[in-house]
Amino acid sequence: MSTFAQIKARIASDLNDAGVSFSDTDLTYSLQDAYDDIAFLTKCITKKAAGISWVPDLSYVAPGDSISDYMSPIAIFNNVNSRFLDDNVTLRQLEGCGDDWELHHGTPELWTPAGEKRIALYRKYAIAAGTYDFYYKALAPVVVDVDTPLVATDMQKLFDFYCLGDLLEPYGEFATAEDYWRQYFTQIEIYKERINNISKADLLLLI
Amino acid sequence: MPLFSDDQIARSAEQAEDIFASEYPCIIERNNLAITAGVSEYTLDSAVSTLRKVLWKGVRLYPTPHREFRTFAPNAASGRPDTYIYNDLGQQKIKFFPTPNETISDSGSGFWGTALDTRVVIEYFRTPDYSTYKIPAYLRRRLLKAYVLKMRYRAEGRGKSLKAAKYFSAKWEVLKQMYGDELNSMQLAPIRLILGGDNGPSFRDSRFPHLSYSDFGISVREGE
Repeated sequence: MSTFAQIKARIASDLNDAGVSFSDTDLTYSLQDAYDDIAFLTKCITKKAAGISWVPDLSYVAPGDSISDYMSPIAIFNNVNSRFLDDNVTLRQLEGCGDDWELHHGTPELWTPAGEKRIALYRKYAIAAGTYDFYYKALAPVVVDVDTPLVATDMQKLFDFYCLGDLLEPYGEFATAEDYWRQYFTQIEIYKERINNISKADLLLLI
Repeated sequence: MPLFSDDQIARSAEQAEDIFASEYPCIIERNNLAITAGVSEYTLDSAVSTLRKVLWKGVRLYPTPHREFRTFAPNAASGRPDTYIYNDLGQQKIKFFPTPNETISDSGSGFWGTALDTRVVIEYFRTPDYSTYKIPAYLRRRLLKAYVLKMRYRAEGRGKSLKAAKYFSAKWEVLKQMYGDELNSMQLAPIRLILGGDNGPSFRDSRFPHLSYSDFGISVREGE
């Protein structure tokens, strides 16, 4: 497992540059872009926010308002009744609960994504009532030289491919950059598939 | 002297954001309308690109095609609206039927929960304004960069390079589709990690709280 400083040294070596054409700042920016891209496309970073208070009379929760690195939802565990909320519904199926389903009060049982920012709940508490744990896919953290990326060791080459392609483009090295991008996009799909299969193995509840 | 001015870069970035938000709508917002009794037609904000839902005090209204709406006219019925027509009347116009018979004021917040039962709320995809309403930050910079470089290298002037423009044009198309498809799967598809069997929601559910559907009945051992 390499640190970001080691990855930057590797990339600079492959660029055959001693900091003349590509400064440390350039490498850091490119690494951050790579990290953001890998985290977004593969959803490899999973986190849990515990003890979030249920907001009364709220049909749509916006997790990003309280979680700074929120990207997409995974699961909701209601601490009030110690149950996971069912996620096997679409927004269209929620409409089947009635034309006024957004007014229904009670213990939340179902949830589904409702856009990039919000999650629809059915039903909603009428008054303040306890907390829930929220499992989500997280954004990539800020790149710090001494840190190691939250990416599998054998997939750290993704950073090399991305940064080499990204840094060679502005200098008109399109043929070389294109080759690095091709390798990057190929490996991204492989890693993404692996991440999805890991999630399947974690299936918690099947009735 | 830089090849491209800040104004040129900003203009291209805005174009890119408009194109992506148009092809992969992702900026969802809600607002409310101030309703006047006896007035059926209202003008929506110019930022509204597509209506997703209209709620009359929490109850969903259904859209009507203009062809079907003509069968209602010149009916002067008034009451609580149960249908609406949008945008075939004029730009950003919405018309309710029956004509509303009550006045409902607007407010500034609560459209996702607390104000639903007292307001007329519209949910819509909106156009970006490049400051408050933007495409998601986790893909924005990398996506817009490809389009900006494509347009700037194509423009007449000192920085013109058709080879570079062609390269970044291809990159823009690849990233746009890849990011757009990923975004659509995130915001539209249910996760289906915690499966609840076949006990899904139905019209039988009432608006009044009752026991969770999984608490009904008594348990029996297999074979009983």
